Amino acid sequence: MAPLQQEPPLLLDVGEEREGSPLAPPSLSGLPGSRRALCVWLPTFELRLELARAPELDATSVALLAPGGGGRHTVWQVSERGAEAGVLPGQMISHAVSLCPTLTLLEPDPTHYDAAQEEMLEALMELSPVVEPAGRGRIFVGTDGLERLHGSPYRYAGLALQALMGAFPQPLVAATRIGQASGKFGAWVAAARAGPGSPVMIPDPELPTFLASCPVSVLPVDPLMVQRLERLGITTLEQLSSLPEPALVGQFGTQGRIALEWAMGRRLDPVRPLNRPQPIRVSLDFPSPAGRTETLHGALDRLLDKILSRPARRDRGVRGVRLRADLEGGRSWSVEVVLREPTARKESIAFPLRARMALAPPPRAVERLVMEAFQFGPATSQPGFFDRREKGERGAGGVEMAEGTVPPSLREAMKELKLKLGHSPLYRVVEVDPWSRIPERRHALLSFEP
Amino acid sequence: MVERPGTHALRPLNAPRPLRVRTGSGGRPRFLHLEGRSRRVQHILEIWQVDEEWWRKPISRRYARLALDDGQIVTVYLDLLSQRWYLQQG
Repeated sequence: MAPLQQEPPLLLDVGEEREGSPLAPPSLSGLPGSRRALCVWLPTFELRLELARAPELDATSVALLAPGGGGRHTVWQVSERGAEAGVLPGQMISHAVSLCPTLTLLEPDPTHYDAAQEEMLEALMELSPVVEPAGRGRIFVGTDGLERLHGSPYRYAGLALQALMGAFPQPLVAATRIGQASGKFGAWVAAARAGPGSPVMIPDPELPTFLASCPVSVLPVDPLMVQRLERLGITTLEQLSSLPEPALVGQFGTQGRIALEWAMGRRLDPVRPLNRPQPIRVSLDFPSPAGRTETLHGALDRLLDKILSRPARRDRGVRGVRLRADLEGGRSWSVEVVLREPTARKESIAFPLRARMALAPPPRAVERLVMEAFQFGPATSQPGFFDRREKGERGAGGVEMAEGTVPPSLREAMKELKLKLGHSPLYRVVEVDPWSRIPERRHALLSFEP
Repeated sequence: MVERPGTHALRPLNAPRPLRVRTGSGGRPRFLHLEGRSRRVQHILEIWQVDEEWWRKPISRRYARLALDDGQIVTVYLDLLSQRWYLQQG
């Protein structure tokens, strides 16, 4: 039983650079990345992964719960049989269960989905060096210059499916939609129109005609603009294309012009090669599953200390950080924060992470907490010049050291011990769950590696 | 606990240690086998019970703070599930 197909919102960058002058035909060269795009899309990726993991659920009504949401759980994705019973994405669980009493509810497992997305990416990277993910289960593959290597677009689509077969079970790959066109927008719309096993390939001259029949809801513009267009009776891209540009600009401003360019196939968004810096990953295993917020916040602080002290950070500021947890009894949980600007200040990273945790706390006790810094950039502030630690170190002036600072001599001694023994023989006593009624859970030793 | 690269395992402190206890009437501890010799319990200073995590892996312990014949104060508990005694700082 196939899961209910839902089209995810288009995540294309609305502010992509335009080709030449407004409404001029797009030139075929000079774009960074690959102009021809192959969109490989696995609808309801997460639910399909769950069904692949538990095939016995395939013929039943299954709903995957939305991640986060605190105590207000809603349906995220639903199987076809569940949809037949009236269960829809976004419904409250109580409502869904009242509609379908036999509904199997599954908690999301973000770690599993991310790992599968990574496998999908790796598999497609064997076909082209220009690969760009656009959310889980949707990847754009740049095909410029590879025609002689891989043959026709249809053969290319077959190779993409073959590559996926190496990573995923057959029923999952069979549900893949593939579309090819110039630019990611065209390729995505083509993939959304494609069926399982029947890719949609749009040659350049046919792109405007193909787009003309599509609804305005496919436009990667502000949803409010789409709503207004529909209220004005403009429901297809063909109708939109027939409008004069000044009228659209008068109604919607720059967005109006951009929408017109998308609708006429004159705006191309190339597939850009993925820039993936090596993430820094640290983790902490709890001796017994931890459920208290204070314990998790304490662990978060310690993991941040570790990440910020890692030489691999190379003085870069951290911009994107993800906190994952392996939960008691299986499953996982994760929250992610992308900061406005990179920073090396612990509190600037910890605060938004704690806020995310408060909004969407782990649903069960945590066995292992993993922190991963995945986006970096030059730190915009210069804390080094004014850092209290620098001033506080006992130097020539004999000034007292700030609390928590490790004297250079001790740091050196520890380095030598570590080199000699292969591990740090020093430990620090940390509070794990200081108010626990079980004495051995209150404090623990953590290896000390300054 | 296994430490993997990049992994920082926490080592619990104050882990309970198994203890040999001879009990008297009502199951109260009378003699402890500590540091290779038997110690008599002079007084039972306090008794309390901890019942936790019945929903996961139940923990049920009866703690006792004891004054021994040499003046030493120790805390012991009886694991009510396994009926085994342990020494642990309270």
